[in-house]
Amino acid sequence: MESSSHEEFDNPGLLDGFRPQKTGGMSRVYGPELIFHVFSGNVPGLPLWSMIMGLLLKSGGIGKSSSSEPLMPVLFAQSLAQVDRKLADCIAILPWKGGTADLEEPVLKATDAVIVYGSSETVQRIREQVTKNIPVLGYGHKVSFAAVGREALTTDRYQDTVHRLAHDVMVYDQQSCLSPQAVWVEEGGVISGRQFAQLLAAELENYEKRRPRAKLTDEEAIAIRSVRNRYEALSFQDEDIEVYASSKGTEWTVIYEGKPGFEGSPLNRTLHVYACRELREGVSDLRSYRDYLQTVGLAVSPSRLEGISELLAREGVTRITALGQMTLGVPGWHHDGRFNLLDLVRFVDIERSAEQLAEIYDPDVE
Amino acid sequence: MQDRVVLVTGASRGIGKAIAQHLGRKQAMVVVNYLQSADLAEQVVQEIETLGGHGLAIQADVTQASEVNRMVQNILDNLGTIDVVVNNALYHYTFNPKTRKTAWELEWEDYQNQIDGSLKGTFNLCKAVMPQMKRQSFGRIINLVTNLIDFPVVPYHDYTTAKAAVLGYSRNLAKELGPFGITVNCVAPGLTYPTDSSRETQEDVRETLIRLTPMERLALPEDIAGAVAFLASEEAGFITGQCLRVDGGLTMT
Repeated sequence: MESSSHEEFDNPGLLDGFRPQKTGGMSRVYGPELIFHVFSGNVPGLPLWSMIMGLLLKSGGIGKSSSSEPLMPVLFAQSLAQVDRKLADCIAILPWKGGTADLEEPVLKATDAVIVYGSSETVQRIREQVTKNIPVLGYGHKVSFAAVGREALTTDRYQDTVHRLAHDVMVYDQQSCLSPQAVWVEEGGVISGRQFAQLLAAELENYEKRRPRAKLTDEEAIAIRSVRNRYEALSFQDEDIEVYASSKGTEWTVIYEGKPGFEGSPLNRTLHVYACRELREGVSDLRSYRDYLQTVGLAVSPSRLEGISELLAREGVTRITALGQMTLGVPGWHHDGRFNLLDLVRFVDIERSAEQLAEIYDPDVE
Repeated sequence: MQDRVVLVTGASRGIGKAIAQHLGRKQAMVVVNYLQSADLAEQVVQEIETLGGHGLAIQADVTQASEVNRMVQNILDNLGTIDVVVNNALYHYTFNPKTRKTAWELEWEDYQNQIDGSLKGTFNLCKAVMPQMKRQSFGRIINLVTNLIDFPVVPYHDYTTAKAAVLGYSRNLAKELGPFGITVNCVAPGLTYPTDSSRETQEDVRETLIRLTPMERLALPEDIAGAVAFLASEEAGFITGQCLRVDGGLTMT
């Protein structure tokens, strides 16, 4: 938490009182009095970020919990109450069906800031209902992916590389915006792109035994079957396309294509594998996803790290991280390229002139 | 396995339970032996019956010869025969790499407990069923040991020493009972997760093992049951004195 405040404020003490500025005068930072949090249900623990941010800014918070994951925010608030009753009393977590106007309208009228996690539709719907000029931080649908250089596919590294990617796909059943939906694999390592896809399939089968995927809604399952069908049909005409899928149901799917490309996946452990001669070949396929790109998990040598990062950054990627750790958020990160705290606060300046004028009203000054 | 009478010791939980269920599914008559967990043992019997097999729960402390003899006599009286014995019971053990006793902390009593549970229990059972198996010129004895004998990745001294004794015991038994048509083999599981014994082996150790394992996962109880079922089957009729390691290739001997 300290890192977060240090990252965004030169002096976190700005939150507690007026502090001298380099240019003279003093400044202080004020957080919103009340923040309305709308929590999503696909990644447990995510609501904790925004709740903590609100508390750091000394804001009260009303959190609307998600029906699919109502527990974690409540457990956090209750744990907080055991440690600091006063602090915990600044938070209220309430469940209600999204779109319930008689509850949402008054909250949105009263609040000084909104932080909303959810689908792009949810974020848009909330944004449209906010009539006041207040900060609305919306975290909607995002697409992340992985990129594997041939140097990560040496005989002593390739198994570990596949293992890392499989882990990132498995965590939270791929539901997090940080989870990879596709991977670019460079040819020229000891395994081909196709073999990479096959190894990944075997790993996902192992994970199904160790950590079975959740039961899906009909809609979610249909989405997976539909993409499987589409690519299976393509594979009959194109030997560079192959679909590896779990035998029983929709538990996991790996769709291999022997050429560069990019497509988002219906999640729930469904991944596209694109083979390329050079990682940069896939960059042009990112254009249509520009507004949604977020994280890239990289497995490349040190000499290529910056170069590839620059290419990806230009296309809209906001976070480059290690393959295998894609779903681990770190404190102080720039969520979707923005600030976490700075976007919520207002700075108040006491200008040097005010201080200087005040001096002449000091009875002791002559 | 139709109509074969199989006794599995320590079958109310974990690997023993998976073995009992697997053989039950194969239509064997499975005797589910337990020490204390009567309710759990009854549940296993229920599950076997729903799978289309037949089961019977019998309590006995395998370290007490009198109780073992009573149990075997009970089986012979009620079922007429005993074809397969799976020695799975042991003196309770918790695989916790953080709290295990080191070589210099262990006392003889720790070793003795494990030897009594694993070796003496196996000895009592084998002695009790030998006469009947000789009479029918048929028997399958399958003893559970551990791949830690070959590769003590975590040195559970007392547990693994006792199991190594069971391995030696099994080989000698195989030599002497072979002429009677009785095979004696061992199954050596790798870390099998999750079970009550392995629950305390935390994720970092499990991940390390997984990375060393060719099949890149840990054993499930069902994996062990499959190997036991094979050794109990017709197909394994000429296999004796062997130790089948079921650990995804972690050890290869």
